[in-house]
Amino acid sequence: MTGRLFNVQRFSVHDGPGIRTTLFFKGCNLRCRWCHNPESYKMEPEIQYLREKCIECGECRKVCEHGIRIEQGKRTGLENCVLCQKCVDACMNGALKYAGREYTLEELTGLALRDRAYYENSGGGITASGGEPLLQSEFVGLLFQKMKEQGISTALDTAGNVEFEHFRRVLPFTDLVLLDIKIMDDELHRSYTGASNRKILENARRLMEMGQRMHIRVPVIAGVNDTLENAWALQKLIDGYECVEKVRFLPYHNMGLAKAASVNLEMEEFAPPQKERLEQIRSVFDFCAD
Amino acid sequence: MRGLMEKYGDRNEKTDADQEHQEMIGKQMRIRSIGRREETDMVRPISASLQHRIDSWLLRDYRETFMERIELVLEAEKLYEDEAYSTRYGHTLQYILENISVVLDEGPIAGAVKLRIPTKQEEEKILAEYHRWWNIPTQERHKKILFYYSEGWLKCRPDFFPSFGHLAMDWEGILDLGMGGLKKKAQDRLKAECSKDQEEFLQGAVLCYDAVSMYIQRCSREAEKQGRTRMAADLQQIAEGPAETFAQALQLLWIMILILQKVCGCGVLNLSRMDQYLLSRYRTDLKNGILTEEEALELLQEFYFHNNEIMVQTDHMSQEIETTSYTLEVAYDDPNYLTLGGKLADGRSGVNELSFRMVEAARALRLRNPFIVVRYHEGIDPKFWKYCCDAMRENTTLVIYNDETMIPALKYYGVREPEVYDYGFFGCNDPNIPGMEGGLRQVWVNLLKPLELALNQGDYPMEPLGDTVLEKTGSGQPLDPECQFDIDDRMTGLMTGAYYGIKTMAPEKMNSMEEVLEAYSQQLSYLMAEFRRGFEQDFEVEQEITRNKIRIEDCFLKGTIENGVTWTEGGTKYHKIVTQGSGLATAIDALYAIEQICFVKKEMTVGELAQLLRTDYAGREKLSVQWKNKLDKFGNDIDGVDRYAKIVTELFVKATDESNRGYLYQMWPTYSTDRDFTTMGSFVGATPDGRRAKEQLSENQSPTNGKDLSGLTAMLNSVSKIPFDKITGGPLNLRLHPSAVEGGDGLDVLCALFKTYMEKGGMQLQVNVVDAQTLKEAQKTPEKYRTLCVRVTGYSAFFVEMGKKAQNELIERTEHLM
Repeated sequence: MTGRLFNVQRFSVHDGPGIRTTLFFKGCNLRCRWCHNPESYKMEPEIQYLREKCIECGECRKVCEHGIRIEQGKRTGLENCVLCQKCVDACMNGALKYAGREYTLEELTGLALRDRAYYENSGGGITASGGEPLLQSEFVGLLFQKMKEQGISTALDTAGNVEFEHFRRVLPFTDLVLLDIKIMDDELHRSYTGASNRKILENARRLMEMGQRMHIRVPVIAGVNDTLENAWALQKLIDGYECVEKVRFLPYHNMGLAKAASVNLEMEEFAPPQKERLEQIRSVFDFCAD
Repeated sequence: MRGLMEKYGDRNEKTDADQEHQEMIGKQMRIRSIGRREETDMVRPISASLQHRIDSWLLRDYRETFMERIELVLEAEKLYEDEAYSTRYGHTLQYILENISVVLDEGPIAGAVKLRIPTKQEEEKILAEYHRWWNIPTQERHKKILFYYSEGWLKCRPDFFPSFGHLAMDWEGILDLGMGGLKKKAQDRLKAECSKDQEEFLQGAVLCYDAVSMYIQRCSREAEKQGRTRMAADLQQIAEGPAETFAQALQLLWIMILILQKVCGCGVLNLSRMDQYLLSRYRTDLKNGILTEEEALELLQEFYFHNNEIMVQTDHMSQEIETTSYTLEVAYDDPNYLTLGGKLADGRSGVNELSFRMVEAARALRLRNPFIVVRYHEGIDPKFWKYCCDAMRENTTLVIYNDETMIPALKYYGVREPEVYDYGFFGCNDPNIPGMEGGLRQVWVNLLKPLELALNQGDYPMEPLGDTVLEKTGSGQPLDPECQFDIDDRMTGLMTGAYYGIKTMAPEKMNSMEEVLEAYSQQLSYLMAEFRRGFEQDFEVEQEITRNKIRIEDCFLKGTIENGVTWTEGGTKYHKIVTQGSGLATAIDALYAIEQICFVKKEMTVGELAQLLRTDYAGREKLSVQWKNKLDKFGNDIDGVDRYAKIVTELFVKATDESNRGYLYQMWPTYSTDRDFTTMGSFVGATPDGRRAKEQLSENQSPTNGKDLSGLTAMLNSVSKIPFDKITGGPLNLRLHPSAVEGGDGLDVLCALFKTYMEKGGMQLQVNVVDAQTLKEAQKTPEKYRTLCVRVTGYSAFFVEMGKKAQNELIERTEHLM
C-alpha cells in the first residue's frame, strides 16, 4: 500500500509542537479560495511548473513526446501530458517538479525516523497534512500505527470535511488533531470553500466529546472571516472543552499564488487581517490563542 | 545600578536623559520578564552611563588612532638600538608605558588610550616607516617572523617589538601572583643556572613586569588625583600584588589586555575560562558583602565594552573596504575570546552562577566582543543551555563547542589531562590550550587540490607542466628542491598559485573508487608532507633567529620563564599548527560525483571525466549544470553521499598523523575556511560535482551553497556524520529565519535542535537569526542597523561595517525556514 504525497518537509516547527516532519498528502475535497497549497487540490499526480526557476532552455521540449511547450513562462498542451516525467528529469533548474509521488509505508517510516532524536528532545513528531490526509485515511492510519509502535508522536492536520469513519481509522494512533475551522457561517463557508461546514463542525463536536487533544487552526483572511462574530461563534463551539489546547489564528499570506500558477490554476489574491483586528480576535479566547 | 558608579567616583551628574533612559529600560525589563518562567531568564540592562559611551563609540571616526604608541615606538627605535634584544624590548615597553597619557575612562574599570586623527603628513610618514620595516624580500622578512597571515598584520608591528597574539596567557597565574610575584619567579630563575642567552631573555622579562607595574602605578596616581579613592586603592594593590577581589581581577585583566593588545600588538587573546578562574573571588566578595550580583554584572559589562572600545569599527577580513585598508592601528580588529561552561578535569560541570552572569552581560550589551565560546557537555544544566540558546537567538556574540568531540580530538593529538579540559579558542576558531602554547601557526589545506592532482597524475590543469612534472615525480625527485609551498604561502598559510603533486595512477587506468581514493590519499599526504618540509626549514631558521628574543607573551606563559626559553624556540609545553581542511563539502560532492558518473551510471570513464574537467567542461557546459543540480549533494542526509565525509576525514587525519610523527610542532586538523573559500576556489580547476574552474569552494563546514534543500535537521544529520572526534575546531554557520524560532515554543525548538546536534556528535554551531530581507535593508540603510551583529567565521562583525562581498556571502547562505 502506498500514500500519495506532494511534499515532505523536515524541521517543520509550525505544524504541531516541537520539531516535526510534515507529510503533505495530495488531494483535497475543499477548494478554499485562499489555499496556500493549491497543488494539493487534485488527487491525481501532476507536474508543477515553477516559472521563477525556468530559464526557457528548451531541454524539456526536446524530450517531450506529447508536444507540451514552455514559451514565455507559459506551458501549453498540458492536456496531452501522460506524466512520464521525462521533462522533470531533463530540467536542470528544478523548474519542473512531480507532485504526487507514491510512498510506501516503509519509505515514509524510514524517512521520519531519521529525525527521531530531534522529536524526542523537542516533544515533536510527525504530522500528516495536505491536502486532506483523511482522503487517504487507510494509509495514514497504518502509517500512524507504525509510528506509534516506534514511539513517535503523531499529529493529524485535517480540514475535517469527511465522514467520521475516516477519523476512526486514524484516531487510535493519533496524539493530536490540528483541526482547521475556517468559517463558522455555513453560507459563507460554502461560497469560499465550495462546501458546507456542517460535516466539519459535527466532526469537531464528536472529537471534543471524545476528549481528543486538539488545536483549532483558523486561517484569517481580511474581509472574509476576520470578524468578531466568527470568533465568538468559534468560541461558543469549543467553550468548556478542555481537550482543545490551543486556538491558532494564522494570517493569510500570498505564497499560494505562485503554486497555483504552477499547476495552471488561477487564484485571486486576498489580504491579511489588520494587526489590531487579529489581536481583537485572539483576545476573544482567554487561553492559548496565538 | 548606580551603586558601583558612585563607589568608583563616576563624575557625571545624572541628567534628564539618564532618567528617561532608566525609565525606558525599566519598561523593557518589565516587557521582557512577562511570560518568562525562571529567574535565570532575566537579562538586566546596562547603565545609562555605559549606554552613552557605547552610543558615542559607535559614531567614532575610523581614523581615530592611538598615535602616541606609534610615535613612541618610533622614538624608542633609536634610543635602545645598541642594547641586547630582550633588554631593548623591555626598555621599549617601558618607554611607551612611561610616556603615554593615562586615561582612566568614566566607568569603574580604569584603562583607555588617547586617540586622535592623524594629519595627512603623519599618515604618510607612518606608512613610510612601515615600508622601511617590512618592504623587504620575503626571504628577509622570514628571518624576522615565521608566520604572519597577512600584510595588514605586519605593517604596524616593528621587527624589534613584534607580537602577533593569537594565544592565551596564564591568566590565573597573572591574577594570583601579580607583577611582583611574576617578577620574583623570573629573578629566582635567574639565580639558577642560566646561559648568557637565558640571562638576557629573563632580564628582558623583568623589565617588562616592571614596566607594567609602573603603568598601573601611574593609573593609580591619576585616580587618586581625580578623587576616585577606591579605584586608586585597587590599582595600587594590583600594581605589584595579586588581585584580591573580583573587581581587582577584572581591572588587572583589563590593563593587561590594554597593554598586550594596544601597545604590544598581541591581540586575538583567548581569555580562557573566566567563569572558572574568577569564581572564587566572585563568591568570596558576595559572601563578604563587598560586591553585589548587580555590581558584578556591571563590571562585566564594562569589561566587555572595553574589549570593543579598543577596536576600530571595521571588519578585518574585508580588506577591500576603506576602513580596513586605512587603519594604522596595531591591533585594529583583533577580537578577544573567552570560554564558559564545559567539563572540569574531575568530571563535574563547569557551569556555575558566574557563567550565567557572563552570558547575561553579553546579552545586555549586544556588541561584537568578546567572542564567547560556550562548551556543551552531556548533562549540561538545561537552564544554562536554554539561556545560551536564547542569547544566540538574539544574535549575541556566542557560539557552542562540544566537549564530547573536542576533548577526545585534542587527546588524540597529544594534549594531556588535566589541561585538555581547559581548551578554548582564539580567532578564527583555532583551538588553544591556555598558557601552554605560543602564537599562531596555520595552514589551510585545500582539500580539492589533491583531487585535482589525483585526476592528473600530479599535474595542475590550469597551468600544466605536462611531461616535465611526470618525469620528475615519476623518478621520485622532489619537484621543488625547497618545498612545493613557496615561502609566501608558508608565511600566510594559504595555498595560492600552482601546486603540483606526485605521479599516481593514470586516471585512464582507474577502475574503482578505491583506486581514485588511493590516488587522492597519496596526493593529500604528499602535499601535507611538503608543507611539513617547508615548515621545518622555516622553524629551524626561526629557532636560530629568535633565540632569547623576548616577546611580551613570553612573560605570561607557562614554561617560558621556568625554562628560560622563548616560546618561539619551544619554551611551552604544546606546539601546534592549525591545519584547516578547506572545501570539505565540495570534496565530498566531487568524490560522490565520480562514484556516480564513472562507476554507478557508467556515463564515462575516469580518464574521460578527467579530460573533460581539464577543459572546464568545454563544449559540454550543460553537463556541468546537470551534475551541479541533479547529482545528490552533501547536506541532505543521504548516506551514500555523506559517507564521503568520513572517508575524506579519515584520509585527512591519516595524512596529518604521517606528517606529525617525530616533530615538535603538531598539526591539529580543523574544518575551517575562514572567509578564504573564494580565494582558494580560484586556484582549483573544474570539479566533477559540476563546479566550474575557479568557482568558490564550500564554506567552513557548510554544505555547498544552496544545495542543502531537505531541511535543517537533514543538514545537521549530514554534518554530524563527520567524525569530529579527530577534528579540533572550525565553524558551522547557520542562518535561521526569525519566524522559525520565535516565541517561547521557538526557544524550546532551538534548545532541542542544538542539543540534538551535539548529541549526534556535531562539533560546533554558530547562528545568525536574521532574514535575507533584513540584511538587504541594512545594506540600503546602514544607519538604521548599526548594531546588527553577525557571526562571520570565527568572529563577529557589525554587518554594516563589512565589505559588500562579505555581506553578500552572508545573504546567500541557505536560510532555514521551518
